[in-house]
Amino acid sequence: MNQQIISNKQFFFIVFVSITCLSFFSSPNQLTSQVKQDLWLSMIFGTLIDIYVAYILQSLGNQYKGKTIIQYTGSILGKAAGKIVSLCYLLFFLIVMMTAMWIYCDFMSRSLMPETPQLVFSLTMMFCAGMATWIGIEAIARLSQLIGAIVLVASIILFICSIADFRIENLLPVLEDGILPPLRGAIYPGSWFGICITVAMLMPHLSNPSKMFWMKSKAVVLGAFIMTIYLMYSIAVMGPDMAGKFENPIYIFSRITHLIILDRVEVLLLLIFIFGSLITISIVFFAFTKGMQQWTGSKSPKPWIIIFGIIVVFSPFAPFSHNSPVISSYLSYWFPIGALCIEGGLTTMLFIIAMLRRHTG
Amino acid sequence: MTKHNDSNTPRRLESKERPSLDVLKKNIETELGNTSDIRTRECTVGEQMIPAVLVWIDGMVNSIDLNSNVLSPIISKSVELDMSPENKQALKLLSHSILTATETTAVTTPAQATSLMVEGWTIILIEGHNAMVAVNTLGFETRSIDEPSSANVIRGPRDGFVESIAMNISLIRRRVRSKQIRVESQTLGSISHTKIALLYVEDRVDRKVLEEVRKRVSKIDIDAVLESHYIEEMIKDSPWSLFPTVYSTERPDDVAGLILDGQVAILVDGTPFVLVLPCTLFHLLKTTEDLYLAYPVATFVRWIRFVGFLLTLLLPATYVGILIFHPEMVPPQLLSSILSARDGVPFPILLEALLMELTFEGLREASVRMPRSVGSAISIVGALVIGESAVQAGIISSPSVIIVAGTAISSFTIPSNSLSGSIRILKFVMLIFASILGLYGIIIGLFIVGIHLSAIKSVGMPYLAPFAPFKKDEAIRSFIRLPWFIQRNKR
Repeated sequence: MNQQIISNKQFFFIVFVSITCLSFFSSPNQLTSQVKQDLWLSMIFGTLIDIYVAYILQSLGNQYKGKTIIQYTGSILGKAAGKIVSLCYLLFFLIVMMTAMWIYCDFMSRSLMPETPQLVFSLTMMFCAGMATWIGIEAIARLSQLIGAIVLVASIILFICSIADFRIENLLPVLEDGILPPLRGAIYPGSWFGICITVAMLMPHLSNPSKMFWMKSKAVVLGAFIMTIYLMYSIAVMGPDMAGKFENPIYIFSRITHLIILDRVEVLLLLIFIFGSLITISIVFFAFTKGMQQWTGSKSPKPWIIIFGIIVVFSPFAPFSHNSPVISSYLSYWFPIGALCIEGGLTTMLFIIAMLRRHTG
Repeated sequence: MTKHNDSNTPRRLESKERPSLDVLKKNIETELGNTSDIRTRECTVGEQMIPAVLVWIDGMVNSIDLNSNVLSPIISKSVELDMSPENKQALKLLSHSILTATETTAVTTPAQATSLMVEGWTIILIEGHNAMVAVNTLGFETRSIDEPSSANVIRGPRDGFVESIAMNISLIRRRVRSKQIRVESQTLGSISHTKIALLYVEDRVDRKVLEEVRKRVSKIDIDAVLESHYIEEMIKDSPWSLFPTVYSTERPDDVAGLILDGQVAILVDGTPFVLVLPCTLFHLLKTTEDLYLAYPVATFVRWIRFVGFLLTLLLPATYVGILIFHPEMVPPQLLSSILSARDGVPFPILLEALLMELTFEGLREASVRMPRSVGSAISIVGALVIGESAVQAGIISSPSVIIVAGTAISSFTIPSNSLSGSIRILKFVMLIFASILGLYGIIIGLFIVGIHLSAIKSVGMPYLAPFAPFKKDEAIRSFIRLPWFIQRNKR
């Protein structure tokens, strides 16, 4: 199988698009309601967590050149333990996909097209992501380069257009409730930014893997910066109390903006982010199916694309409605904690064991 | 025609083992299946006045050439030549010092002779000689060089390729008078024996592309090549893709510019359309005229083309998608005027848009095929009956007509006919997507088109290059027509 290669610039945009689009849909609600105007601090902590994870992945990747995380866990921990740990990662990818899919479908069916069954969204999204994964990482990378530029430009235009509604007093006082809430809030961006642990699956595809840490940090900082501005803007425009009540304050905030003749640009903004999300899902799905292929030792990831594509399609049928307490405690507590344990905890453990092995052996 | 062959009876008897002229002639006629367009001219050669026959296929030779370079030298200058069958050097002497045609060769079998005859050569048969002399007298009526009808320019050279490959090569050579130009000729088609030629500039061509093109052309197995599109479809990457990955043009200045950029041109005999590889989406949205216009104007026009490309793909779909699913996006005044215009229209909005788009495609096809004199009738029918009456009768709403007209104008701004065709097909796909899922459907459609475009390549070059993968200098040059005084240093 000939290896598809992606350039560092494309890698930068992959991470940037993943970060902005995932956090656009996932974390605004918890952040604005719990941390309010100090969420920038949460974002900074989240970014730091992610940069730390990127550093570990970089050094692991340097040590095991040309291998993915699924492959080198075996070399680090031995065969049996390696299989179990890499299965944890794979399950984590799958859970991330299903959670993200659940969030998208739920959000779409409540804000964009209320009369459309959720299955339609998951089916179309999964079809797109499956197709992209089937075609390969090169095409995904090229497309993310285009959409990344569009996300960046659209965001800047939106910020400029709505500068008239910006009320800086809504962002004051700084650290109203002390430093603890922003610290606790950091788990939301931290966990979702950490999805970029998928880069550990992409590293063998990079044309210059030694620059991975640098490119990823840049992309995470830029992505977190853009998302922070979005969230701060929505608080500054609506006030912290109102912004905290909406499920997605960014979406509501973009409603106030007028663009030439279009009255409601929020749909356009949403569409851009949906496009980005498709790419993000494709990346996670690529990482997952590639990992499945390596874990089982099968020849091609294609059967896994079909099998798990079908499984993920049914994720909006998870037996919890949006209002159920299970889902809200899952999204605001269990998922972030679990994600951080795997991204930060498990990876750090791998790193330490690898370091010990290098020194002893 | 005059007959001389009954003067040498004794000599004919002497050389009985030698083939007689009649047999030689008969062999050739049998080889060609006694086809009726064989022409012959009998004469005598040499001091022995040996009878000879010239054979050629009517219409393939240039008769002036035949007269002045073959027939008249043979008759008037060969009288001092020893043409007896014993003289081994006779045929060589004949072709070297008597015939004045540019190309001659000796052939020994009727099969060889006939394969040259179908290419416009004349065969000289001489009594007693086994070998024959073949003379290139190729020449047939061709269209004169005139302005290509598929690509008009306001400013720029007005010559276009013709159906003759030799003429087409010369049209490129006279623009790039460099010894670096290489022409690699070969014949394709087991029946048609069509000449094709690869043309490139030696020190600029991308070696990998050249090797790949050579490899693909050599793999072609086909019985006839009547147009360059035959080859295009057989060498293109991702053959099932809707998008053209081979550039075709009728303009010599276009090809000259492209081979100077390191691309490879494929010329095919019998068609004025020349293929150029590799070809990306942005090549198809550029024209040569961009380089002949003032750079701000050219940049502006190029942007209009980019917008036209997107509008052709998305305008009808967006109209339908917004009106069905997201009417709140439209400002109230605009929405109310659209809705009041749609008042009483019996069709749903999708059907209306589909009907109008299909009608327009029909009109477009009709106006291409019809003779020019009928063309005005079509435009009257199109404009009056469909545009005016349908709206007045309340069958079609005028906003739909405006949308279809806008799409039509946008599609005319795409310079490449094949790209415009692909986009027009995708326009209908997008329309269906939009009618089912609204703007979300358009995004799904765009993602599918986007991932396809990012995946396909043209002889190794990604189709969306230089934007994805991004190459700064080339991207700027694709987006903006840089003035020559800047561009000069960037090559």
